[in-house]
Amino acid sequence: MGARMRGLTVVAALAAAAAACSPEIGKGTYFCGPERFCPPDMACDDPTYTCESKRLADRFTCPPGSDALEPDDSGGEASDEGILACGAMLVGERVGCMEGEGDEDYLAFDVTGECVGDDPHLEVTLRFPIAFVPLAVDLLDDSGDAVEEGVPCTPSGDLTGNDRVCIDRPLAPGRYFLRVRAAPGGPDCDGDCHYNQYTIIVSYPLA
Amino acid sequence: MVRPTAVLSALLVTLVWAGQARGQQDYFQQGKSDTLTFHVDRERSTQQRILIASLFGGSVLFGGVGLLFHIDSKNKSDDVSTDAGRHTGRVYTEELDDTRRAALRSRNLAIGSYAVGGGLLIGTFIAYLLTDPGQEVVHVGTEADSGAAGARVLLEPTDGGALVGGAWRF
Repeated sequence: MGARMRGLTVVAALAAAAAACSPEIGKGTYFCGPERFCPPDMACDDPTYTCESKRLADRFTCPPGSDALEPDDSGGEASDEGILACGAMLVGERVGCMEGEGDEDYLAFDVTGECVGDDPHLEVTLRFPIAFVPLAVDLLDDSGDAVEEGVPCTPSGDLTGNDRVCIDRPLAPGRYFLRVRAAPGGPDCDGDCHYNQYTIIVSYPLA
Repeated sequence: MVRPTAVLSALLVTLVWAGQARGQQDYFQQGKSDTLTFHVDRERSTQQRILIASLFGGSVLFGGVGLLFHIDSKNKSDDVSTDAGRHTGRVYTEELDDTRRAALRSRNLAIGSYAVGGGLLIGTFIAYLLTDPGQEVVHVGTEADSGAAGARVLLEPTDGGALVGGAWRF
């Protein structure tokens, strides 16, 4: 009896040790990593880009209203935003969607004159979930040539599950296009997650 | 008042009885005595001591190693563990997954080390029992039959030693 009790004690101690130091990850507590990466036994819930139980995980759909400006897949079909006024916001928190290979969204605007200020410049921020194919934003001139490419600008400690790319540069008068597309060569789950949603902000601060 | 008196009386009676009983012991074998027999603990051999020490040392070593892995696993688990329903705002990356896997690996190593250490501890206990040398029976003292010349040794074990004496008959 004594030996049996000792054995049970050892087993209980081992079980307690095992339980005490096992990583326990709750469902719905992490954003999906790149390429819909999640802990084992979980799957990426695309609409919220959060790791959930496989039973609850849904597939991707474009957010409501994100395709309101379609078709805007070329310079000729671009959403025309008009004149970019000095010190004004041109586009605020507009939601868009990239779905499928080759999808691109264009918006066009005009800069009509020089702005007066300490540092007048175009400021573009494109924000998108890390979980799916990364996006890129380019500034094109009237002839369609690239003037500037967006660069990563995600602030450290960001807790939104999103990455950001930004354009920050002064502009001469003229007509310009902003092109949003999937980053060339970006990881996309071998084509299985070649989609994403985004939010774009365009402004022209004077300082 | 009756009770304390009764208890005191009983205590005195017990002490007197014990004194008389002690006084009846034949410390110097004044009466006819037989051979004295003692049970003396044998000592373990050096090899047996080394075996037991090695087993115990191994159990302590593996227990310590298991504890280190346990602590490591606990720290890594705390880094990735979350309560269900409370979003951390963090992105689940390869680095976090590496930490999770490392926590599991350390946990398994801790369990293995604890198991080996526990086994060695049980082995120590078993070896301690199996190598018990037991007791040696020592006979001391001889006396010739009554009337014959002879000698006898008088030996009375006491706390921390023994009282030794002798008697001769010519």
